[in-house]
Amino acid sequence: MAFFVVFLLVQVAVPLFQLTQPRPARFGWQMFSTLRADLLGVSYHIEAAGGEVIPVQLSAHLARARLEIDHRTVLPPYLCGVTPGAVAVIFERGGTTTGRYACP
Amino acid sequence: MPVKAFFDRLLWSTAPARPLAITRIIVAGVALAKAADLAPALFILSRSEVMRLPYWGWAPDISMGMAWLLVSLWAAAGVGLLLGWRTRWTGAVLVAVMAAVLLLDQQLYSNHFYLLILLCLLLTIANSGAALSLDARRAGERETVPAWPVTLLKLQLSIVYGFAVIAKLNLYYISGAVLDVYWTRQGLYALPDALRRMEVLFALAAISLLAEAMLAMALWHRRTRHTAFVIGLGLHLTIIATMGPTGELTLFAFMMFGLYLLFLDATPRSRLVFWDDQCAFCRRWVMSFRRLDWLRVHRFVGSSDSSVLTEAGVTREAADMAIQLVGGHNRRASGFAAVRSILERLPASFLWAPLLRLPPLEWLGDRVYRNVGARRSCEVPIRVKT
Repeated sequence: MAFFVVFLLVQVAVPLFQLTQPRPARFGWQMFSTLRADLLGVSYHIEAAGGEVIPVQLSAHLARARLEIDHRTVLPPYLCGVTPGAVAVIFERGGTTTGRYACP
Repeated sequence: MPVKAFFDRLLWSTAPARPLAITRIIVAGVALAKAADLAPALFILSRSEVMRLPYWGWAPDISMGMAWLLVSLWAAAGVGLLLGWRTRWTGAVLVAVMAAVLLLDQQLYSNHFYLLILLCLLLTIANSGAALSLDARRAGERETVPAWPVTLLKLQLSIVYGFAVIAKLNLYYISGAVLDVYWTRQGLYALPDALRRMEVLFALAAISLLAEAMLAMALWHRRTRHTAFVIGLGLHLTIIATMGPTGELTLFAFMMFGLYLLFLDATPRSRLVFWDDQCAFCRRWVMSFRRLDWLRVHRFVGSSDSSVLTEAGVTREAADMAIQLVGGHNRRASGFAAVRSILERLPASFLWAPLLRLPPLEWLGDRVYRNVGARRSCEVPIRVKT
């Protein structure tokens, strides 16, 4: 009986809490609930020391693309770390530069 | 039904073991398919050039050896659960391995994977190996299991649909913008550009919300249950056909259909089916129904068994003319209606059989049944065990 109550409480409480988080949130059954319009069509480029801009092939660096993950915050530091000589990571959307992350 | 009796039935009583066993088989099959689906991602994560996103800093790196170990354990435990071999142990190992994989990296999360782990956990606790399993072959099949874990499985379904609806109550979804992005633009089930208008997309979004809301509640009520099966079938088939990724959505659908089975009224041998046992044509149909009656809900009685006939209040003439069904609460049906009612309790047909209640199909089915019944060729009678 204790397991029944605890399991049910957790299964209701966690999704309820996740409703207060940015969508889509994990463990909340928020499948197809919204669009991450800010992530749609974003592409990444690496700016090298000589000014050269190299497009990034996401499939080479991601196991799976998930909407719960904002790649704009986690991908640039990682790309800077694994790309020797990288100066910055540039975000583009529809051919327009929308952001730039300077490598430390 | 009084509230106390309702809760007593859900928590303290017993539930039929066979529906739970079939759910176990379906979910274990999904677990094996998921292992094949996720294994490439695990191996990819073992490569140094691929980004890792652990939930916690102390999470171990995924080496190729670890990936192989996890996938192998997953597959072995999945087969064990599917066959119902040492069900509680293999179920526990499967849950542990899948949970470890889920929590190794944020990129490995998906809603249906999370649901799969929860269902395997509940199936492990619920003694889902009590029937249709190697365990049952060894120790003897049990007819019933405790009801409370089965109730949790059913509640989990309502929780998934319920929160899926609540999460969709936002402008992006209700306006149809989400459907506009995800609905395929190619192939047979594409939504043409001409229909990608606000009013159409809004209507489609509203229909999907109503369907999911109904599924969260209607499966619990006898009067709405069969309609809910059809709506669920339609909803999931539409999602698979029109959106992606197809593989993951198919796995999700199978899990939900496996849970639908638990809502069927499947008390063993609770329904009597009387048939003309002097007719070989009828015997072939009854044999088919018996083969598909995996839940053992029906008891097939030949019309020559006068004692059972009399007790059930069915005449021999009626049973010879058309198949007769006597169910719980003395509900009766004959002919095509009886056939439809039988199909609504068979795992292979319970999702779509309620469609046969639709007026044109019901009328047509009745006409066909009567015509076939009038023209049937009954050969030398053969005794059939009931």
